[in-house]
Amino acid sequence: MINKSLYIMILLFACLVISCQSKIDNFKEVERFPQIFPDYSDILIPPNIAPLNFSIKEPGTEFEARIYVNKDKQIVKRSINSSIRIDIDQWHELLLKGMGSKLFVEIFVKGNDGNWQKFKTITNEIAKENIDNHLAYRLINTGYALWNSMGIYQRNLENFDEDPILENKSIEFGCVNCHSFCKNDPNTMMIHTRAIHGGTIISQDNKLTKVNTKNKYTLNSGAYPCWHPDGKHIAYSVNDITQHFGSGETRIEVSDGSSDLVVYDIEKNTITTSPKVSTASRENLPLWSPDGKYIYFISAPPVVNLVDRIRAKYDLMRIAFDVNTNVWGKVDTVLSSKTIGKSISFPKISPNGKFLMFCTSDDGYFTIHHAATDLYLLNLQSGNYQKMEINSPESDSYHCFSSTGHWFVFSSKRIDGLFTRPFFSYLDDEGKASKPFVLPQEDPKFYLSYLKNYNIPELITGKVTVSPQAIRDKVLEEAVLTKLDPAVDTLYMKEHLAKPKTEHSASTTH
Amino acid sequence: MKLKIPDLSNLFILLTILVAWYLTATVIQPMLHYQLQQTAFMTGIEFFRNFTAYPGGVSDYLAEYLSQFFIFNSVGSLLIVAVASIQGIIALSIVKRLAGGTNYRYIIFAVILLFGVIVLCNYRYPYYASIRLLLAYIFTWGFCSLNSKYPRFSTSFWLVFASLLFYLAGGPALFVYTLATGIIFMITNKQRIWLLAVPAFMIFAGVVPYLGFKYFFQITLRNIYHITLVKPPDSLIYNPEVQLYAYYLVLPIILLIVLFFLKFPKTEQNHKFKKGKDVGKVSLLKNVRFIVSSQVIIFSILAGLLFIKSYDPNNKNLISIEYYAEHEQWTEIQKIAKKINTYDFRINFQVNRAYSHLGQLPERMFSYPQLLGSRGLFIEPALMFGSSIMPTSDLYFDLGFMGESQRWAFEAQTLLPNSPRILKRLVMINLVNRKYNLAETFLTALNKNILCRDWVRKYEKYVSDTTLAAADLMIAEKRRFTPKKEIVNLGNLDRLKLLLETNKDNRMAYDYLITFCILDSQYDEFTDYLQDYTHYNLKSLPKSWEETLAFYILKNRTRPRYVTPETISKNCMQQISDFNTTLKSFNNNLAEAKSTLYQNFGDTYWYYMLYLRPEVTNILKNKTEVR
Repeated sequence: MINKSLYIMILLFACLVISCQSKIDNFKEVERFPQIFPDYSDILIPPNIAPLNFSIKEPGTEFEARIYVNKDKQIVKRSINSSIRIDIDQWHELLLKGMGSKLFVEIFVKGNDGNWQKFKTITNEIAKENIDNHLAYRLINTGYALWNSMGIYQRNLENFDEDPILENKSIEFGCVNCHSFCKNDPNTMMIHTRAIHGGTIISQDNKLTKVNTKNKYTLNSGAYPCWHPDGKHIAYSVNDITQHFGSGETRIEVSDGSSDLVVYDIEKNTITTSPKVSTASRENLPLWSPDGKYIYFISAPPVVNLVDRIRAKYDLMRIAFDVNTNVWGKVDTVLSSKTIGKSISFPKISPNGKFLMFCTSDDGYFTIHHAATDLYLLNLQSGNYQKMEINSPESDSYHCFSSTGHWFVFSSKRIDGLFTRPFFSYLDDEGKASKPFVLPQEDPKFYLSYLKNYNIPELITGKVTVSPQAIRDKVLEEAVLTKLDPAVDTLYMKEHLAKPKTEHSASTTH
Repeated sequence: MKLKIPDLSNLFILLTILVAWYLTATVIQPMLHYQLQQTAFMTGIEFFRNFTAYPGGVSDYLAEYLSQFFIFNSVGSLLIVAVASIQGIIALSIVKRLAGGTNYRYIIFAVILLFGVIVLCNYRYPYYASIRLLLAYIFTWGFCSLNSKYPRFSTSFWLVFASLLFYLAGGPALFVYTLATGIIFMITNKQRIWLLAVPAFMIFAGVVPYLGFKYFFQITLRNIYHITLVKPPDSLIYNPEVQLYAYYLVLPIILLIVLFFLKFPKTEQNHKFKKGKDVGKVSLLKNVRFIVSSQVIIFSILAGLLFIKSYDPNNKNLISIEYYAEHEQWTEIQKIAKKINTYDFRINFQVNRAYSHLGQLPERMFSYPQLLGSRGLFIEPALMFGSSIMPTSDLYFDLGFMGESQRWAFEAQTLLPNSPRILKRLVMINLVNRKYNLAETFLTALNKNILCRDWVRKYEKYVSDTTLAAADLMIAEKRRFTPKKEIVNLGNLDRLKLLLETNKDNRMAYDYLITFCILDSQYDEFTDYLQDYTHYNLKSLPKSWEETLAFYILKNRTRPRYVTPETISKNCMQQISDFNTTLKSFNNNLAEAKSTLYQNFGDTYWYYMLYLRPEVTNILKNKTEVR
């Protein structure tokens, strides 16, 4: 008798479970879109991206998402904790078949009263063009003067795998920064290490070298880098950088007392510069044109006082440079800060040479700490520029084009105003960018509690294959000193560097 | 009923455990470990993943989990004693398996327990070292058991256990395991294969960590071979002491003694004692009570000596002050500060903070030697050895300067990313700043700490219903006080001025500003701001203020416009006159007058000016000496 009752109860429970998982036939339609986090709605999706897992921010006891290109083949995910995690194989199959089509997401939520609600269908679009399949970035905490563990990592954008390129715990917790790749190539890379075991690590097809780019005729060792398209030269700015702490919303300002440009020839191990890019003005953030004939850079007037130093606006300039002869051309102004009314920084040119994307802020060049920082787009063919529609009220800053030039990644603090996250967008041939979406994570609520910043996101076409251990071992070696190009006007440079640097410690008000 | 040795030993073992638990809870106080190290165990895969990337990480994860309960003295003590006791029991089990019953059960157990507890006298001791060692004990015990059951496969077991142990507990644990199992192998292996196996084990234990370093793990060579890791923050770096090395070597040494006695059984005894002649001695040495009592006495002496060597009450008091400051128990800070005879800038800083919170700063500031001048009010974390960062953030939070408090909280969070104390501070700052999204981010992170969930529940409501935040008196006050003006590169005095410019009702900022001016002899600012004292409902000037004003007037032969003959009390004028008279009686010889002046005027501004201020002592010339 007891056994019979037990069987009936088990049967009833099984029926209950099955009925719970059964298809939702009765539901009330809600005439608005559901709130989801991250916001993966109205976006253009790279066909090779990892599943865009999300959580449903609607009150309920059970949640269901149906994801499809056409209704005969749906991915259906049901959850009791509002997190929708999509099966990776099903997702890639769906995206592959739906390239160039719309992707629909239907959201159902079961309310406390036991009734299901269906929200308006979210519509996204699947692009025809893949995004570069890896993203390199540095993960750091928010401290300004101190650091603890940090590292440069690479994330496979087609799944959720994250691997270290170099972690500072292997090099006695020195600072690692400014990772840079040549034309999105994972096998042509450089990384700076600072504080302990300082130097610049250059990786070319898994062959590693460590160099010290400082010599007595340059202001400092190379800081902000840019690879020449030939993969044999790197342009650097050399900077005298200081941090200034603020009393209000902008917690920190970073400024240069002076800065110049240099070019490092990897094969010859020589540094060259010129009085044209080592002036009293502050030349900074070099960028090669895709044909390798010009260096674009930003420049601000010389420092007179602290206000100048922090509040100066940078113009966008360029200068011709021949890497074969080390001959510098004439400096041109590409876009003046006076014209745009903003300070210009971090210029990046699309691989086809059509667009130049840059950051703007009210002053200075270190934009990440300024909430007002926005991305602008300059059409190099027409000379027209515009503020991009992808900006948010929070800081939208450092960006990088994919190897094809249509996809790009940029740093944004739009989620909470503090932590920098990588966002992706598609730039069409007319210069119109799609609505950005954040790097997908396996746990959709990841960004709601993750306390590190994604710093300098760089798209790369594959995985960096040189091992972290090999890089570590190279970092632990002594750096090779670079030589000065004999053509450098050393007399000028000596004089230039000997000019007294003004101390600026007084306070200044906005 | 006659007690057998095991019974008597067990009784004493139990007593020793109880005493160890009690002393750990009351004298060492595990909560101070928690306070200093800001232990933070977080649930979730992200946190765990950090520990899987290096050898020993899994043990560290377990240690992190256990040591979060150090926040409760009794529970923390229980865990510490339990882990050390398990090690002791394992050692007894191994010895029993190798040598059968022993008369020295008590001392074997007690010595391991002693080292397991005594290492905790150093508040920087990373508890993972105990857990790593525990794993070495467990694996040794596992090997010992399997070795006796399946001797033919012992080398295979050894290799599997060694590889696994290296990953779970790191290089030094592998080394302990290798030594211990090598000795076990020597005892149990009759075919002398051990002559080959033991050196092979040693080579394995030396080479495997190197191979791990070279090809598998992102770690420094030093950290893979050493018991404790060198990693930031500097203020928590633990320098291994002899107690730690002894703790790690005690099991191999015990086994070595067992080996010695098994290899040379009773031969010594036969030589020493001849039948009939030394019967008394022999019977005494076989007497249960004598043997166990001797062990207890020897152990007690050893424990006492080790405790005296290991325990540093000053350091404990210093951490206690930080603990009470975090929990805003200001009178406790004053009590403990009195117990500490040596000067420490961190105590100076917290004592000033305590005075201020108790409304006593103007009255009693010179009761503590203000050797650093204004730098005793604001610690410069980057410049002074041994300083920690959170107290600076706390002080700015007290003052209502959210920007500065947040800046230092971020610096602190960089060094201790999951510290509950720091995350709580960041939540509060962002609630004050109305950055509810950000407050929610820190609350969500904090919610992964199982000990903080009640706190999170309370403040989650502030995010979902922001009127609750507005109604919170503390938050409301901070919102009134925090500066809105954007200014960069402010010094400490400028920050205090900005706070008063933002809201004149900020009494703490006012007290700090006046104190700053006094300590730095900035008389223009002092006299300028002092005239506002009536705004704070003060009917007369507090002690240090009137002493400074009296000194200023006498020195400059002029008095500020707002000063009347009643502003400075007659008592104060009499005192300054007495001070001068005393000094003159020594012909203005400062060195000779010092002792007398200290007795009568040691807590006055005038004494500070002549003997204590940094310009006189030159204490700031070598900042690393300021401890």
